[in-house]
Amino acid sequence: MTLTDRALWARIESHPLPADAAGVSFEDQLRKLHRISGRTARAAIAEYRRFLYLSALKQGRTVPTKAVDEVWHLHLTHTKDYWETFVPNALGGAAIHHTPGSPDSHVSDFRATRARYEAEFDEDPPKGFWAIQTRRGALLSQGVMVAFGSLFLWIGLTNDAPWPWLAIVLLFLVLATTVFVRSAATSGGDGNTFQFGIDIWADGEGGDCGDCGGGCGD
Amino acid sequence: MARAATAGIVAADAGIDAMTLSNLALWQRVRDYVLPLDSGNRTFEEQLIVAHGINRRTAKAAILEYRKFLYLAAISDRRVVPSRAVDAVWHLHLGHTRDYWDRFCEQIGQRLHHTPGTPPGHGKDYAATLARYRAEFEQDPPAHFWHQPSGFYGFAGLALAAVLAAVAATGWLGDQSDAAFVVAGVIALASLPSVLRGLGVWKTPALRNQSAVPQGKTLNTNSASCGGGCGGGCGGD
Repeated sequence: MTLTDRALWARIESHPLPADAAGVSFEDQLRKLHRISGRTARAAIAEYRRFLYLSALKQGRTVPTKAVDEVWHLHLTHTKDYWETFVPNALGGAAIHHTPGSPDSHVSDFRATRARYEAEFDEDPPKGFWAIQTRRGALLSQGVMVAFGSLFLWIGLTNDAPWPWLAIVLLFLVLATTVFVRSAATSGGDGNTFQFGIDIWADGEGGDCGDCGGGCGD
Repeated sequence: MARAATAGIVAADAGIDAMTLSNLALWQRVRDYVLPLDSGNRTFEEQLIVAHGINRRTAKAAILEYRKFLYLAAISDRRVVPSRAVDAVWHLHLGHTRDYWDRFCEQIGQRLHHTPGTPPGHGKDYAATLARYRAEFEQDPPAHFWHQPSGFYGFAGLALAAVLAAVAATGWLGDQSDAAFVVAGVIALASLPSVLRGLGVWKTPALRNQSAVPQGKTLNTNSASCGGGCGGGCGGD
């Protein structure tokens, strides 16, 4: 790791995240709240700490992924810990503020955050939490869905398939086409995508910035 | 006298009788506080609408209940507990960290902390919050935003089903035993959603649209149980 500020990272990395009023650990709160495994929760918390560090460097606006933003939100609700322990002790009083919303520079800020991540931690951000789902990528995957649906429909029609089967394929096609059309019609540039049921915690597809969960540190 | 008369006019637009408020000036500050835009320039109300998929009317009403909660938290020395709906609005506001800590808390002269979790005594604190609400605003908290499912009817249904099944098992009902078992099964199944909600296993969305016609139903103390699901946020301590 080629950390700019080792002491800062050490303080952020070792800050104990707060238990709730019933004594439930931070990891368990996250696990229960989002119904994820302990492993996923720990990984997400580790990425959150890295994000905090990148924000604390104060090199410009940072944008978290949706998963990291969820961890941040949970921490922000522990207001005493965040503002009276974490900010003064780990950050030396230089607060990291959270500002919801996506201004015009949002996607470029997200890319800059990723670039800083790579520079500081000497590795790519794990795809699961930090992937950029591009507009082109989303359109491509949805186009593939429509193509496959059409193929099955064609096979079904030419082989006298029974009607429930056809109805299912047709329903799928209508849904896939709707999503495809909505994606294609979404105004806004690269990274502004619309996708069904994206799992923000998943290793393969998660981490899409999109509207970035709306939170941004600076 | 003059002060009270002016206060009555000012407070009237929120349907609140100024005479019962223990700190009218504070309520006015909280009521008139301009909640923050996001960095894409959406109003707070719009952010709430988008985040929870609710309509404008519900969002407005939820924000008013949030303001009342903030006021209660600010005047209370003890722990106050929001409903899940109010907690959802609070979370959105807490996400605007600059606005919340540097503007809002400065204006009311207090740092209102949020502490997740349900410690022992949570239900009592919730009941006390509702009592304070009634005392200050001289109205019942609207059930739509403040009712927490207790699962009472669900558990009552399960008990009824159990009794019916037990009676059927003794054979007293003769030929009707089979039918009684079926009825008991149906009652038990129908009770299940209420039980699951009461236990907090099945979480309905914190904010749901209100029906178009304002509900006449208001909250009565006995049915308002906090259970384990008060959104987990608690202020004033």
